[in-house]
Amino acid sequence: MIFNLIAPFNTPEGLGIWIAAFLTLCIFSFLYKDNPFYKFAEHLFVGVSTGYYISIYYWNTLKPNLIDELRKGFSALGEGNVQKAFGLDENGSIIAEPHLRMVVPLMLGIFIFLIFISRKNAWLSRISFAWYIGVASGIAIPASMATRVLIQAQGSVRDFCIFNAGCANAAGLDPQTATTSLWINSALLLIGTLCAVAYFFFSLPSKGVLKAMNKVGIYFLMISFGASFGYTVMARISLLIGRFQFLFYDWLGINI
Amino acid sequence: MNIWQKLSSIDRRWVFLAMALFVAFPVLKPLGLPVTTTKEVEDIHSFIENLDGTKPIILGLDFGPSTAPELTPMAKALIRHSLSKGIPVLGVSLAPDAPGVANDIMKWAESELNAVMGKDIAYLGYKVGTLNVILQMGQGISKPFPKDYYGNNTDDLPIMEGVETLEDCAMVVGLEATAISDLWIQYAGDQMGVPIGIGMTAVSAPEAYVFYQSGQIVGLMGGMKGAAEYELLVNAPGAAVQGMDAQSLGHIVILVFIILGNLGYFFGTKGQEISRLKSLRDGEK
Repeated sequence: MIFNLIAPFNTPEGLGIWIAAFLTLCIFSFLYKDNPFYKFAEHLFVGVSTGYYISIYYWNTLKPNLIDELRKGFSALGEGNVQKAFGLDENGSIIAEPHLRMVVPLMLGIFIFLIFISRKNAWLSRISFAWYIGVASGIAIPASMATRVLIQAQGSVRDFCIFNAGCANAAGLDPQTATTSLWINSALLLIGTLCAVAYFFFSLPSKGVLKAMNKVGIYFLMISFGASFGYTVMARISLLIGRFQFLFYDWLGINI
Repeated sequence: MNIWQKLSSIDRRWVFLAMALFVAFPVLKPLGLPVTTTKEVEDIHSFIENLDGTKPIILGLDFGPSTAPELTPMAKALIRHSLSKGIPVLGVSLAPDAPGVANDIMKWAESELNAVMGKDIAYLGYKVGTLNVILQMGQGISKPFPKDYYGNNTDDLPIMEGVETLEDCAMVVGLEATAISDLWIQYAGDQMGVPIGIGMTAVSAPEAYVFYQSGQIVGLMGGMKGAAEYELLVNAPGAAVQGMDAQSLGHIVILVFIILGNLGYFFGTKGQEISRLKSLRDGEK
């Protein structure tokens, strides 16, 4: 282990490392107890994040999609070119740049803010929400059904296909990969899926076969919660490792 | 108060200190504990290994500084592997806090791997609207990204030669800290038919296993362990492999504390119950 010079203070990069190291230690200090250094770092983080996100959304969305388009539209309107101002070509066909057509989404946006500004006109926000929910549902529901329900249902029995050459070829699977362990895994997957789903079936009393399936389902769910907990622990330790690597390698200049 | 009750009421700062020591030690002095590779990571590696290099890979750099320790090593190992096979890498970001980290990764590829910006690698930056961006990329990559992060016209970049839409790309590898992976799978994968590989933070990885099992994604890297595996597969151990020793010791500390905590709870409570019964009996006498 060799100690080089600690990150230099007089370069922009070095200064950035020092600031990051100081703020990291401020946050770590909360592990001992709440203190002004932690509060300072916490408030700074909230402020910087808010400023960053406002700036990102302004430059990425509001300015190019709304402000610039409206400016171009009003400019065309000033030149007397009404068609261009509303994003239409000479033949009246819609062009890619919407220009003054952006007034419609602008109004929908303003309607949402009426909830906070005017109780009398707050009902207009429903138009915006109706449009938003309608479009979002139309895009999301078919794709989610396919990805999360239909293909997943196929997936729960897919591996059994390998044990039949015809089925495997049709499903694009390699029959050579058929092994006893795969068969056991596939059976476990199917049993686990059925029993876990049965656990959430509330329309019949939990008796007989359903009770047995519920019990097996609980065990599968508990195993899945355990796996999630393990992964969560790994994620949190990874973040700690990342900070230690930064403090030791980048800030203190330790070479291992 | 017996030892088990003392264990149950230990100041949590001792737990933090133990964790800090056991994680810091291997970061300073690596132990070289073995790391094995798993099939889900090997599958991404072999998929890229079998690509012919005529089409670029889309690398979804959808993470910010808060999850960089897990996902940056994945990105670096993937870029290293792709470039070694002559496969160009086209980076995009659908998370607003991603550009700073993504730019650092691209600059690293330029300096460490001698990648030519615009030809071997390109970074198109961040665009707001996740789902809409993916759908637009299906119609034309330059539609949501008319210019790259550095202000060049996307269509003029050499890497874009013969590449118009997402379907012209060899695959999408999404490195995700949020549910953006779902959108890559739903729209780029299931609807457009582009092969998808996913690298996720460990917190989110269990949710992605269902897509791997059903064949909707070609492979999956989960957390720092997944990154370490990929680093080993490309013979370039880096930050993730270095971190795995600390990861292992950290897990051992947590296991020990879980066991001690449960023993303390069980024996401590039982001890209290026995004392209570004894005092009742003594009172009766």
